[in-house]
Amino acid sequence: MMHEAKIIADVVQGADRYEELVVRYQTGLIIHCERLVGDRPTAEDIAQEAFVKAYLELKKFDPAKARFSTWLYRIATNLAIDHLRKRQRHIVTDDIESLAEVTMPTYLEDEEKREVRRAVRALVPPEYREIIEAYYWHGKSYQQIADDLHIPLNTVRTWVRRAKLQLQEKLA
Amino acid sequence: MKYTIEQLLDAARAPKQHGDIDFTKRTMAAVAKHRVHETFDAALRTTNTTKKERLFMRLRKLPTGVLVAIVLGLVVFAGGVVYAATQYAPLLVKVLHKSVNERGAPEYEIGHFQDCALEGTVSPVKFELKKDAPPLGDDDVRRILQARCETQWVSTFASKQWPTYGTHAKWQDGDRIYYARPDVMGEVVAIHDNAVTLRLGDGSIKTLPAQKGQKITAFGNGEQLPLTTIMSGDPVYAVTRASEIHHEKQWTAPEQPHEEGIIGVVKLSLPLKFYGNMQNYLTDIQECYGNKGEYCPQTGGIEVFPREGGEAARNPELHIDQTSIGREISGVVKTFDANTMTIQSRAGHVYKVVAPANAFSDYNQQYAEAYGSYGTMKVGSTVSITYAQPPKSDPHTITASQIQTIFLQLDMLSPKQDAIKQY
Repeated sequence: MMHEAKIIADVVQGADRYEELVVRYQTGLIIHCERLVGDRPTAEDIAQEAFVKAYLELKKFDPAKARFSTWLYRIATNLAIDHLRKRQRHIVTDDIESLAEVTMPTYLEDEEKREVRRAVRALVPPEYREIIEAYYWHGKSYQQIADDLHIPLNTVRTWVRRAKLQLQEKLA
Repeated sequence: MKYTIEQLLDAARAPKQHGDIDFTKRTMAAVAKHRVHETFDAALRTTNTTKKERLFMRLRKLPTGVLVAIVLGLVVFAGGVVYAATQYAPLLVKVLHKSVNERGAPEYEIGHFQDCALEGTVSPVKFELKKDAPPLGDDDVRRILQARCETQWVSTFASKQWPTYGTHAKWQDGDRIYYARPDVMGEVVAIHDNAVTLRLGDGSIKTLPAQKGQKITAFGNGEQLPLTTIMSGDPVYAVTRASEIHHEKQWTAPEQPHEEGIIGVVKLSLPLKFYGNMQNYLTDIQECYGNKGEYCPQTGGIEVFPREGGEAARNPELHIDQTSIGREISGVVKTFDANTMTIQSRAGHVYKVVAPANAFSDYNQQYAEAYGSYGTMKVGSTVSITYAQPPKSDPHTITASQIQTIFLQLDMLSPKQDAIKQY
């Protein structure tokens, strides 16, 4: 986190390093938004707007008060709620907040990260590993994965669901 | 389990794992656009219109140059000219070098422009006069750039002088954020400490009240001025503040921001026209994304490839992995056939571009006609290409699996935007 604080400080000072933060958080943030709004293109729009807002407000961000990722995800969550409110007029905020909690960023010790990666590598069949890595780590959409693997979109959904069940057993 | 599977997977991702390069590029382009054109964007930003969402969904597919041109066009032609405002410290832009570039267009390189940039931004120092622009004298060009410089100073000044959030004691983590500075530029018809009446860019008259509880202050030549020194006919930026904060647990979102109103005016040094549509006569030439030493004109463009399946088409052969580097290049077409072209960049490098089968012939036969005289790609056209380059690959050969988008670059003025309305 010290490294990240330095990047933020550098950006505030005018350094051209914001892309490092975008690269670090974009995949997770898009997934977070996709979970909230339900479709990938809208999720990408909201994630992009969140990055822009965070950039414009970065000088006011206080690393002592919150992690950058928490702040960024909060901005995105609010944008998603706004979007849903416009689309549906009435939404139950508590439901959205519950959805958001599932993908809010967290931090693991290195050994814990290795354990998660080991569990992913051990997924069977190997296609499960491929789609989990593609979606959660490489930033591909379900549609892109379906296209890449030449399988139906619903198969991707099913495999992701099954893969997560396996992971849940391995990591419980 | 302490965390969800999604959280564990998210946390286990390598920090430098590169996701969707195209998203990164779009986002950084949006950030750059906001840095320089923050208030232009604020003019378009509304809190709840699905129309605006659709607009942005479409705009995000366009290159930055098109976006800027469209925003300028909208701003100028929609009526009031909406801009940032600022105290102007007289900093003179000088044209250091004038030449004719490889596109046959007059090109100007200027000094000191970086000093006009918003904090933390990189401003272009090269500008190209668009082919469709009316004949302009060098001094007109200088004044257009002077006005651009002044605009950026205004934006910086206004942010510091009247911060939207900086001193908000109420600011808390998780509070939702609204901000806008839909500043208005016009010629003064009348000004008082509680309102200013302006003649806007379209000739209409508009009275703008002061923010509640505030008296309008005036600035010019870097100093605060008595309001009485602002005369009828003076071009000014009227700085509007519109902001609100909603606390985390309060989800009611009013349609319009709180605390909206004029808080200050800044006297400008040049006639209004230089801040309005004349800005559209010049194209920025910026260093190409991911290609140091290469320069890409930021013009509008027509998507040549990929086209199959509509505007959001994706090159089916595109292959990007985490080791690929996103790049952009622009150049003049020297040769081309059904799917292969060579282009010469501004730096003189020749790039060979191999697109999927019949990509260029299909475009010229099926799509070009819709854009009239602008649309046909031919030898001498300028194209820009965004692509993903794997490590150790030939830097001057762009293969079908690397191409994200090929744009035919246009010299686009707002009155002649028909070519892009096809989008």
